[in-house]
Amino acid sequence: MKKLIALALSVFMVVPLAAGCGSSNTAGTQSTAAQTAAQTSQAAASGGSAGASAKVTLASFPDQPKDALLAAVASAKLDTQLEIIEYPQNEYENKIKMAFGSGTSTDLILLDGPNIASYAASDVLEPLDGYWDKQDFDDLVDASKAAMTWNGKIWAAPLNESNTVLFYNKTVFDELGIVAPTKVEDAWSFDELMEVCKKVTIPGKRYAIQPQMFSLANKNEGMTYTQMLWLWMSGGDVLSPDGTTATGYFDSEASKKGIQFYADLFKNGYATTEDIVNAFETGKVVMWTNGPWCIGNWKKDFPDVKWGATPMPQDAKGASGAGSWNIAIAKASANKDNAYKVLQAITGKDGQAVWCTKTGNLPARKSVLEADPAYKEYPFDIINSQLVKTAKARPVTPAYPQISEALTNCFAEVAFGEDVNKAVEKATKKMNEALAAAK
Amino acid sequence: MTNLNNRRIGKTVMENFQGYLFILPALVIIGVFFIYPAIELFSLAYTDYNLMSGKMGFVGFANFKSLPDNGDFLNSLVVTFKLALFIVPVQTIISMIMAVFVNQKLQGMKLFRTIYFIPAITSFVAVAIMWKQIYNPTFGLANSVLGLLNLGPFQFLSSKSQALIAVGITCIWKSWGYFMVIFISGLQEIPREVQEASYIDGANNVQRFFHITIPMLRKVTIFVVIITTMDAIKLFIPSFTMTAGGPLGSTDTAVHYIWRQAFRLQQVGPATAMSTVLFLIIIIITFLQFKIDGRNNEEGR
Repeated sequence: MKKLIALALSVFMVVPLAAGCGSSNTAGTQSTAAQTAAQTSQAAASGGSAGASAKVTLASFPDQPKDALLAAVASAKLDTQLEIIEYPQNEYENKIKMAFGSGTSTDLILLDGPNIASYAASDVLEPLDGYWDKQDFDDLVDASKAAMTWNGKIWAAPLNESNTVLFYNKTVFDELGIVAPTKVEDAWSFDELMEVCKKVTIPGKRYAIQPQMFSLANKNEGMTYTQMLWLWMSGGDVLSPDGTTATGYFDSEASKKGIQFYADLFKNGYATTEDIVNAFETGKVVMWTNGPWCIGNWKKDFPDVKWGATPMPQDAKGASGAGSWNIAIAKASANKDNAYKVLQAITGKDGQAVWCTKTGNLPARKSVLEADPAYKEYPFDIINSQLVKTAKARPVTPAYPQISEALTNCFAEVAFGEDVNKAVEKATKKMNEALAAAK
Repeated sequence: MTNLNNRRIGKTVMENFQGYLFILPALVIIGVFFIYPAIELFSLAYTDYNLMSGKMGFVGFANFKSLPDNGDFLNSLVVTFKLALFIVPVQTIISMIMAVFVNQKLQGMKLFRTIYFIPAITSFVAVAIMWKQIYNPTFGLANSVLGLLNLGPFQFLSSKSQALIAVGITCIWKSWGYFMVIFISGLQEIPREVQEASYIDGANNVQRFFHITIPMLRKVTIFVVIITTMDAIKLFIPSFTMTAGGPLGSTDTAVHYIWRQAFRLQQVGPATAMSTVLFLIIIIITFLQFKIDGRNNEEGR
């Protein structure tokens, strides 16, 4: 045993030295590898211009329907072939990171909006500025434009957008004679929402609202996506516009007001920290902050649920969720021109219309939103005008994963009764540390 | 004479070579899957390695320096030790008592032994998902059974104060059968004469349990406690599957927290530094347990 400990300790002492020397070696090897790769890619590019048949690969996962992607490409009638490589959904991010790390990435990669900056900062993506026509880029809704841009460059093109509304149980509202606004301009203020919550709550039996996508027993991006809205609505923000600090933004009085409102929903017994299965569908919760994808699920699994939708409340400002999956080009791709053609075919005006009709997603392009009459019907008319008027992109920074974690932890803490000032101070510190380390 | 010596040396070399040949497969597996990753792990702790671009720079002890201020990491250590302090004694006592029960020569005991052993060979993920359903506050089995006794309803996994105990119970349910079998083999090594002598002296069952069974099982018990402690410190699956470390980090075990930092948040450097600290903690605990074991042995003599 003594020998074993001695061995472990000596390994522990020696290894850092080895690492110190080793890292420079590794860097050396890598740069040569990168040079070789660059040469290969040049060779391949010149071969491509000579007229070899072009094939472009795309990394995706099963939830993004393959046939809809292929149909969108087919609408552009390219002579380029698209090969879609699917990874299991839960392992998707890990797999593409491994692929980037080992230099075996596909030409095109699907990326979740808030993660784009961390990939761009790792220097594995090709900026699209040199390819994408500015006028066509301006067709995107503002939230999309903001989400695609980091460090002054465009890094990806959106497959589609997303948005959130306040869904409500229509049976309960009708019973109590509550009329929900249907126009963004008439959206409830915090005070009005609190009044409604008070009216519909039956202590111990029925809660008024689930102010985030899942119950607090969950931890994922869907939670951050919906919790962040509350501090936006009160006029606050998470980070400074240049994305360098959370001080003065996440811990501003405006942000704290929204977080306090969220905390009060729980404190007053209008929302619960309990984990109730199908809380909204079974009538145990009357209102729910969520996206239009619920509608399809209800039609399929809960056809008896009578639901309505009202715009997200507005206290100081209107705010609604935004951001979805996007396509980016790998920096190491040997076939960037053809890759861009495929990217443009899927995310361009025609391709996006095909993709959104086939998948039921929201377009990220104003022209597509404008053209299809389906987006003028309730509740999509609300969503449509929120997308253009109030939708807001999550902060674009390489440190986003940690920002998201700190934010959702903060909201969970105040929901469980922690003091808002204390929780906000802790989260702001975490965010600033992450931002400093990401530089 | 020299000839004979040479031949002897030749023979030992040959024997040693054969010996090495036999342990080679195990050595390769341990080397590739344990020693090499461990060395990599220790060295990454001093870098700011980026998982995607593969870039890394030497940052010295920076990753270690920030650990004492990292409240979430300290919380995960506290959670881990709370869980270990709950699991180790409770599980050891249950498996020892149950071993004594099923070791009786009665009809059907083999069947019980088999049934109790089943969770131990079931995948932990399957067990965790099943218990998540059992703990469901709305339709779970736990609340309906406790409801019959006029208790509850409890929130279990979504309650800050109950979640860790609920997770601990799941871990115990999963593993006690395995350690029961180890105790049974220990019981069967207790010499029959000792038992018979105690019969003749008129000791009752309780007296025999405390004065014969427990002392005679000491070696086995220490083995079980060491293994259980290490298992408890390394717990990951129940936090990952049942609670995602929540609510409010109340079930965020150290390994689960470290995994999140590395693979969800891309903080490979800090995560490996935390792993190094956890490794040292486990080494120290195991060392202390062996020490105590050694001292007990001497006292026993």
